[in-house]
Amino acid sequence: MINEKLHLLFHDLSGRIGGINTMWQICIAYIKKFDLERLDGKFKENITVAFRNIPSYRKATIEKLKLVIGALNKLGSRDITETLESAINHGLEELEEIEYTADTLYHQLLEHDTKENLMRFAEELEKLGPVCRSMIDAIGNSKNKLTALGKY
Amino acid sequence: MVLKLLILEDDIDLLNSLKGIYDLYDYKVFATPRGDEALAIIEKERPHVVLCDLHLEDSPITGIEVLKQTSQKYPDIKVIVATGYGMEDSIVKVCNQYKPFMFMIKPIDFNELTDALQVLAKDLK
Repeated sequence: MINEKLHLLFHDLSGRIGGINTMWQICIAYIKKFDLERLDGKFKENITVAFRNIPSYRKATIEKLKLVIGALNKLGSRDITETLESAINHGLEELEEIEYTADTLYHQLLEHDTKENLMRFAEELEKLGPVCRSMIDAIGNSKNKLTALGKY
Repeated sequence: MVLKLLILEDDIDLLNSLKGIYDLYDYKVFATPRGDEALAIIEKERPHVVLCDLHLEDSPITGIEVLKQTSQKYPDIKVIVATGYGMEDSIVKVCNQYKPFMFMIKPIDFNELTDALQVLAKDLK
């Protein structure tokens, strides 16, 4: 039997992380298009919008995590709560570091849209993928442990 | 023939970003966060593909209802289901009954989605 409230909270948390994961892939798609077609204006504008969405999703993840942790605390499974909180917070820190470096590369790209700068920006964004997957896995593991305890 | 794609997604940032990138693929892209609007677009525009989020906040009609009505009224339209809920019994039951063209568990793998759309677009030509 699924705990519906917790289920929705997990869904929202996964959704924010999923947003980051899809958004960096969209950024890469824009970069590839830009690199192939060398069209200006709209491409840069679109890359900017997608790139700026990543920190927005990360901040939303922080808020959703608080709600999940609050709900888990009520269930009284301390180990599961702490493991999840630690895994997500670690992931969020990694995301922020990658974002910081990517932001520097992004500004270099705006100044000089060379192939090299495009690729360096893309390579930095690609680092977001494993971090997102690791956080999604942590959520899955928590669900499995709670299910085994009959709490989910 | 240009591929007509309808994106039904309640995450507005994701919706706008997906529309933005697929516009560049020269698809004719429609986008809405609401199930009722999606059904109206399907009725009027007859898209070739509907990317359908099943769980829609603030929508009077769910993505499940859109999948159901589309598969019943317009079986030629390819519905790609995207859900963050995973393969739960209720979702499996809906998919077995209405048989979407493709099922994606969120987070959406953008490359997988794009590859599927490109194959469908090629088939139209």
